[in-house]
Amino acid sequence: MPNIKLQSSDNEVFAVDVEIAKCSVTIKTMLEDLGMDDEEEEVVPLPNVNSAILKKVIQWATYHKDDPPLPEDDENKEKRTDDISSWDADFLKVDQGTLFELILAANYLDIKGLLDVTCKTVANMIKGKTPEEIRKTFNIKNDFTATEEDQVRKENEWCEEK
Amino acid sequence: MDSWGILNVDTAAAAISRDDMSSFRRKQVMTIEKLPDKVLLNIFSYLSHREICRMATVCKRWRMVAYDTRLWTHVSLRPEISGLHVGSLESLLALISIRFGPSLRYIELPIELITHTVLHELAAKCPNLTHMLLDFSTAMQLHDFSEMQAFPTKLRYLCICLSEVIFMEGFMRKIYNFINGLEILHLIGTYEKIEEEEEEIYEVINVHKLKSATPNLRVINLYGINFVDDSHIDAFSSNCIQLECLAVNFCNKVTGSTMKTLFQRSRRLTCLLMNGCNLQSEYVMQVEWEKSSIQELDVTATDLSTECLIDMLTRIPNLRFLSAGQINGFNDSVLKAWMESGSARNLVALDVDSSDNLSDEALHRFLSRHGSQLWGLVLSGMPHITDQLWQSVLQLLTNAKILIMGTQERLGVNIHVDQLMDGIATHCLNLERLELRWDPENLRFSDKSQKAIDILRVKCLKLKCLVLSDGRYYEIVKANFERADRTTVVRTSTNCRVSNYYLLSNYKDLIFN
Repeated sequence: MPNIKLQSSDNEVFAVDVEIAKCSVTIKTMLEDLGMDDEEEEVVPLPNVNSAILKKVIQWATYHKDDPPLPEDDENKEKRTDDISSWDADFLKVDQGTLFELILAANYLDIKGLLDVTCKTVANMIKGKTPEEIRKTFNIKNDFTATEEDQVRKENEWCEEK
Repeated sequence: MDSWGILNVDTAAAAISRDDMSSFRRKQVMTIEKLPDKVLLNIFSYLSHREICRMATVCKRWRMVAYDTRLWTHVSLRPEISGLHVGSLESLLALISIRFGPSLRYIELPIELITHTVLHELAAKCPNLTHMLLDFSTAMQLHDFSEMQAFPTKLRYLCICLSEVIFMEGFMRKIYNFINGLEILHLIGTYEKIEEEEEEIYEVINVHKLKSATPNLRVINLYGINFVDDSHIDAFSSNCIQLECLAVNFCNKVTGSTMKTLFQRSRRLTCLLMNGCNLQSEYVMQVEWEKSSIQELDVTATDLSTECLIDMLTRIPNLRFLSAGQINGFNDSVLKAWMESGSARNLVALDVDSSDNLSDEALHRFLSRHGSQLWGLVLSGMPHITDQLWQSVLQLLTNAKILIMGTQERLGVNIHVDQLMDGIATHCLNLERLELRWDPENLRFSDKSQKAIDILRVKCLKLKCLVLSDGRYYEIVKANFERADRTTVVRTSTNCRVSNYYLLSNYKDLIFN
């Protein structure tokens, strides 16, 4: 099985099966555009991903290499968050910082499956919390003035139960 | 979902106190604020609209993302569904143009919001609206539509929840001119069990006029409507030549007298669902089954005779999906004749729930021949079908995605559920939905049951739904799955049912409510 070398931002090189690497549309496009053949010497630089995160991404992609292609997001309105597999749930038992870095990596590398499951995980962290609890959980600054905050609350009164 | 959030906060908090300064610094840098808007949008897309509105008050950036029209493509304004309770009509009208606009694809309106002003606004501001649900079911009276002059013109899907007493003509006659592009129509009745004395039944919607306005229908679902009968089927089949799927479940006035013409006219008809209809065997036998394209058939609880069933099943060449539960006439000779004719060669889904006259020998013989091709098998509601039969056929059911077993009746024997789980885990690796309906008192398990459940959980990775009767065994299985963070898989039969319907090719079009 042909390998390809991926280089992280901190210059660590990882040898990965080409087929597994191609789960990243970014990498797949790079390979096709640059006409890279499977010479072992070719190294694909990934300046936006550090080694720790790249290692985890490769781990995820390797486990999921035989997954069927994801269906196109259709008109079915239901987007569930309770269907995260056991393995993925374990894999994502990380601190917030790592979780967000994984999201960024999945976004940059264009790996839909990983992006979806990490976003679902964050959505689950948001569900059921009040705005103040959200700010605490994620360290977000409330940049509304008192008047602005009042206005936003009014804007959303249409959907609150009386 | 809540336990997920708590788990992560605790983990994060613990991590901060554990880690050294370098990784702490890294965490300081990487926060949710660093995520691009597109990603935040993706995260929000997993939240309900009610929660999205709440998120708008967190900070300015979250407000901007919450109002992004791409999050508002599918909107339900029925409070019982979405929790969104529209207080004022003015705010809604403003929202339609500002927040929904050209992104809106799907909308649900409760009766108080079905007014000509709202519909005008939708017609004007939402040119991409293709799916609409109008819930008239709680209507006390219809609004005045005499001034209605516009209505969304690009609708492909329309679902109307009918009321029992409100006549729809005042509304319908205003929209006939706008709905000829409709491909999928749902008319949802107020399905109730028939009492001996029939109260007055009102034909609240004029099907004959409706069918003239909608020649492009592919999928028609008439659900539990007490006035629908054979003439209405005839009406639709006379004008809707593209018809692929017709469902008249629980329309008990349907006898099948117009089925022959239905099939003659609707060459594309592949799916026919008639659960609970009052089908007469003679009518069903008149249909030219061998010339039809039918692949999916539901005749549950229709009381067809043995002769009729044999005739029908041996003449349908490409049947893939059959639901024929609760029919006394469905006995061993039917299975035998069906098998021998070879017509079951394409079968993927079989539901013979509560077929009292099927013996387990006959089922065993049938499954020995056809078990390996099945994706869905329902053998519930039959006290004589116990784990014995199941154990003997599980090795054949390697392709099964859906299995429903057991009966709620109290049995004299006990079901060895540990061995059953073991068998399922060994052979049915593609299993997605499993329901065990046996009474919890009849389930026999030991202290080895944890191991069996573990094996099931670990091997059947596609399992998304496991339904058990509320009781001791359910508690054990639920706890096992929860410990492994598979919190939503195990449910009780009081709030969840599994069915073969997931395997219908038009399943997505047929979903309503």
